[in-house]
Amino acid sequence: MEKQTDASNNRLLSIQNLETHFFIPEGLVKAVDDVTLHIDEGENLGLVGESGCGKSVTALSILRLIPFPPGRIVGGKILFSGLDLTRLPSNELRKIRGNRIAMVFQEPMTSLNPVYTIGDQIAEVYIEHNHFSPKDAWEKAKEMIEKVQIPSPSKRMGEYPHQLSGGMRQRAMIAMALACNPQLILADEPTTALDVTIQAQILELMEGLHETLGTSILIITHDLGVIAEVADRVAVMYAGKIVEEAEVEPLFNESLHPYTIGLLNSVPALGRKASVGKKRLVEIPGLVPSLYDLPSGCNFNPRCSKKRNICCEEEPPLVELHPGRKISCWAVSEKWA
Amino acid sequence: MVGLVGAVMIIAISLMATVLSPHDPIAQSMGNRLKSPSRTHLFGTDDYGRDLLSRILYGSRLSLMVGVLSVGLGMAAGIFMGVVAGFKGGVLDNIIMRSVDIFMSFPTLLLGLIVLAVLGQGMFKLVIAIAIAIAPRFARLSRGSVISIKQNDYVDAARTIGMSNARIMFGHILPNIIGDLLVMGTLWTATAIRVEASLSFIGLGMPPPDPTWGGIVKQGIEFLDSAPWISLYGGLAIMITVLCFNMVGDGLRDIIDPKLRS
Amino acid sequence: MFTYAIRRILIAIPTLLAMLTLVFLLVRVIPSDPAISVLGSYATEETIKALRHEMGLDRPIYVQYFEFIWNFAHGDLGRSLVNKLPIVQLLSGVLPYTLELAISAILIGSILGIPLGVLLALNRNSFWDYSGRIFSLVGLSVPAFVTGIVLIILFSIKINLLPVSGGGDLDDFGSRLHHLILPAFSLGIIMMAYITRIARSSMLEVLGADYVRTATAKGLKNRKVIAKHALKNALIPVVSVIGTYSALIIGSSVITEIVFNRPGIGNLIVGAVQQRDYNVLQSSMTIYASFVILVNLLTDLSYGFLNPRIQYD
Repeated sequence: MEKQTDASNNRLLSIQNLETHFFIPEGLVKAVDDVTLHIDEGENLGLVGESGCGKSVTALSILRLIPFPPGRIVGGKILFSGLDLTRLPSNELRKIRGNRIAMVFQEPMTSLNPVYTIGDQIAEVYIEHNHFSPKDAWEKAKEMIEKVQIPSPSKRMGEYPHQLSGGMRQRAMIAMALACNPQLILADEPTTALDVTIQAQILELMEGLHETLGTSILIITHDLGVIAEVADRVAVMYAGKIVEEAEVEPLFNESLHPYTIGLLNSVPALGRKASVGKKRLVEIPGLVPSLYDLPSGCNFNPRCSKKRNICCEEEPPLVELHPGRKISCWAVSEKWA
Repeated sequence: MVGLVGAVMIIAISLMATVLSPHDPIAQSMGNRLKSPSRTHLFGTDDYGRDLLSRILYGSRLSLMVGVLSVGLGMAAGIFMGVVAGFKGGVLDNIIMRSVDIFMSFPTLLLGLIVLAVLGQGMFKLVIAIAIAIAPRFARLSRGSVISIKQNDYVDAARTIGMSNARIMFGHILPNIIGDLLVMGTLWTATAIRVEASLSFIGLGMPPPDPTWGGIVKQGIEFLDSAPWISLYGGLAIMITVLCFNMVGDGLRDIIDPKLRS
Repeated sequence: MFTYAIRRILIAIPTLLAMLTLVFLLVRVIPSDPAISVLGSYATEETIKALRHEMGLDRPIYVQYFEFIWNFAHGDLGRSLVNKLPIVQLLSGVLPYTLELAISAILIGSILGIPLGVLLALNRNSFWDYSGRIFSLVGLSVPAFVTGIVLIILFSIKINLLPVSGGGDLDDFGSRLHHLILPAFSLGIIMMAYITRIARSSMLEVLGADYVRTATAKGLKNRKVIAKHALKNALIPVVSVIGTYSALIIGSSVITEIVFNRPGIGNLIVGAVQQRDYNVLQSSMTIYASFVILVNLLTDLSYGFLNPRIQYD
């Protein structure tokens, strides 16, 4: 498999014009519609948006975990250290999954197999990718459990998911993901199913591991507080498209896209880093459109306060205003032109 | 779909059995014994020279009637018991549900067998025997519904404006379980027809010379080598009918379940 | 797990008792009189009375009931009202045949049905899947005597391979096996139809579960994902349902015994029904009921064994 040499060569992950569509009875759903993103080594990218905007589907597409039927990747490239993941043969992809790119899922209770012990489920990653013996794998798994700060590791190893608390289950999932020291972790709403206090602990854990191990994280969430906490850069998604992309501070302090502004205004409180939300709560009028019945032109136009004529006719392209700052909005790109 | 068409056809044919039968189902004709299928006797004749097709057509009337009536009776009795049990609660509930459990742990066939042994032969006794096996299932279903409704606040609200308990219960329970009723009813009709055939096969169904599908198959056993069509056509009739009802039930379940889940 | 097992076993006992009571009552409701049945309708009233006294039928019903339970607990099933033989003897003569039929049918159904159901789930909507589903539907629509007859026609008449009737010599394993194959399969096919359906739908559900996605995301080989992660979870509902369908098979075995003219409890029951032999009827029903309870108990226990949530709670 020849490596792609272009400007994105030194990038860890480069998603280019990804299209993931779902074929359902009601119509064609473009869950991911021409999405371009990248993550460099050692950085954390946040992917934020409401439910149904396509952020999870983007992550699942990276590892080709989209169930077919009804969904499939129909276009674009996903380059990981030069390899195009969309075209990789399955046995090659398998070696990357859990090994160089690992995923942490939202619901640890259902994402862990109820009939096998935690230890078993972590150890099997070592057995599969590093070819450890079961005994060695078990030992390594125990080390991992300690690293994610689960107390009484030896005892926990032999327990089943239902015997652990929600926070511990999520730590176990993280341990599973980190086992083979992956270069990239895809974290899909890792804290959404947890209590607020546990959320903070998990985020701290993830950040700590990021710092010590140098793993890059794609953190997917609808919670802006999580983004503020963990991400270096942020991309905002709406109805399958990227609408804005920036580093975390400029995004919070100086958001440009009407949707992003609306999101930030509707959040009552945020994490400790950023300081947004001092104004009163304002909700975004209207509802998220169903993906098989999108408005013409910009997807956001029915709800947008800055709407112009062209917004209803043509979709705005994703434009790079200056390095690291992208926006998909006619109103904004006009102003900056 | 396919099953529905089939079931409707079978019901229609059965209703017209008297008209459609080319021959008298109990008319014996010793000269015509064990003739293989021919133009005059499309399904052949049996050991007494009787036309098999006619016998099968007449037998369909019995099987379908027993099937539908026993399910109807079982449903009615079962729902009544279940509602009473769920509504009153307490000791009555316990007694009824324990009995339901006991009855349900008997294989349907054995239960029918023992009841018929007690009651003797005859169509209504047949219906009762099978209904006894069916009723417990519907009792469970309706009791479950009652219990979940009882917990709803709107029951108390309705009471405060003076609605009678019965009205509350029936107004809310039936709509709740109607989907399940349809599915279960159809599937149990299939089972009832099959059990009736089995009971007739054993000899506990309608006494001769009334034609019953099970009885036809039983008669045919002696002649499996010389006249296999007797048992085969009888068996085929049973199988196709039960299959059609099962298909309808399955199809209904596919439609109703996803609706409930989403 | 231990408490679960104990609880299950303890529940089985009152269930058994209740079943015995039910059987006892049902049998006693029979309108006609076993004494008359034995003596014939021309017997005089004195002889009838005498025989009833001898049969113990004129005692108060609760006395009969307690005696029945007491004797049952001691393994004494009384004597046939018709031929005076100890029922235990009658039953033990035929029990092996019924047992081997029921058990082999249950095993055939499970051992063939589970892999088939799993395979159909893995090849969803293929030609084989549709055929398999149709086969299942037909299998559970067909009464046991029809499968028996079809098999007889195919294998005994067209090809003279297997015997049509009888159970074989009690002591000759080969002969028993020879006589067992056809009946066991005629019942086994029906069991298989049910099990295949459940196995298929259970496997389909498991295949869509989050933890299977996690297993794939970890880079495990597909074979491992299915065989390790999916299969065990899919089997749990299947096992718990085997008990239910086993009861059905046990009930249908009566018919199979008639079709194949096999010695067995089924045939015994049919005879007892015709002769109004309370005792035989009662005891045979009890044996059947006990067997069903036992199978359900075993199923519950293996369910607890497979499902860790029960084990560690």
